[in-house]
Amino acid sequence: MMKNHKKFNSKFNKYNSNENRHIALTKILSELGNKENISACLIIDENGLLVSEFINDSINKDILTVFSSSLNINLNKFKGNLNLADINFLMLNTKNGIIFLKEIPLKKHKRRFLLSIFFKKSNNNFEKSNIKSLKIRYRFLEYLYKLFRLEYIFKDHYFNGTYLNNKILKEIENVIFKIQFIFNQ
Amino acid sequence: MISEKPLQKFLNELKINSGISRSILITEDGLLITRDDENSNSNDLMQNMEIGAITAGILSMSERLVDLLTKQKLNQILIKTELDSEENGLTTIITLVYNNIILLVFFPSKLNVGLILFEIEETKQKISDYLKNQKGDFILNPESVL
Repeated sequence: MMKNHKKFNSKFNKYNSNENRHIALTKILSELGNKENISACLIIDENGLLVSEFINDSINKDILTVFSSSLNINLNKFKGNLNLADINFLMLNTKNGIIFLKEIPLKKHKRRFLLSIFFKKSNNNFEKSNIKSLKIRYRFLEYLYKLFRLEYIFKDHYFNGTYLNNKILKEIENVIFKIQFIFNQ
Repeated sequence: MISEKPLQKFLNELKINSGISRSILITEDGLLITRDDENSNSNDLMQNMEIGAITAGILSMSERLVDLLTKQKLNQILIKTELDSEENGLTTIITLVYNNIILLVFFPSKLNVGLILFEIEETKQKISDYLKNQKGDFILNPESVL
């Protein structure tokens, strides 16, 4: 128990220092952005105002902010009418990019922030070559599945060019946890 | 008993957390209550008093405008300068904190307004909680008036 506590403290020490929240948030977003080749990563408040940002491309952050915020507001408005539970995440998939939206609940402050990430696919060849490589991998995994009766192995193999893989989703979960840690201190 | 120290501590916390350049607490009439640690020399004091007086003017005019348009109560004013160059621009937020106490926050325009508003909301809560729980006279510096 003590060990876990120490581990947790050492891991999050860099976000829990004399630095202000602005610097800590920028650090977290740029870490994610550089690791996962993300074009833009924004944290937006309930009123559609920017809390923190990481921009890696020539993207108009104001438009992305307004777009993400209005989408989220409308989703929350109509989910009740459709008897839907809380939305886990929203992903918009286009030919040249993916927009990923996920709410960040801040229980201590009774507020919610919105994490908006824009993944840009650099060229069309990327997708085609990826389909080929994935087909081979998929067949190999299918063979493994039959051989060892492994079910979980398929979960991680969504098509990289069309869906987000589990690794990125885990990274995003990590980022959300860090953001919550910063605001709930 | 209400003293200046805790109020100043809240302003310092706001400064550390959000990276703002200056924060001042004034009355509705423009009289200085307290300011964060870093602008406490005599030159800054004169400037702060001047800012307080100007803010009182802005507030009364804005209140009149809001009353004319919506018959509602004014809560916050945001003033932005240098819209073309965000690097050198300065943004001011004037927020009603508690009864007739006003918080003035100055920060570089390159900082995100969303985060600053979040921090202001947190500080506002701390100040109003503190003032609600205190009874008696205010103990303030000679230059500060409430």
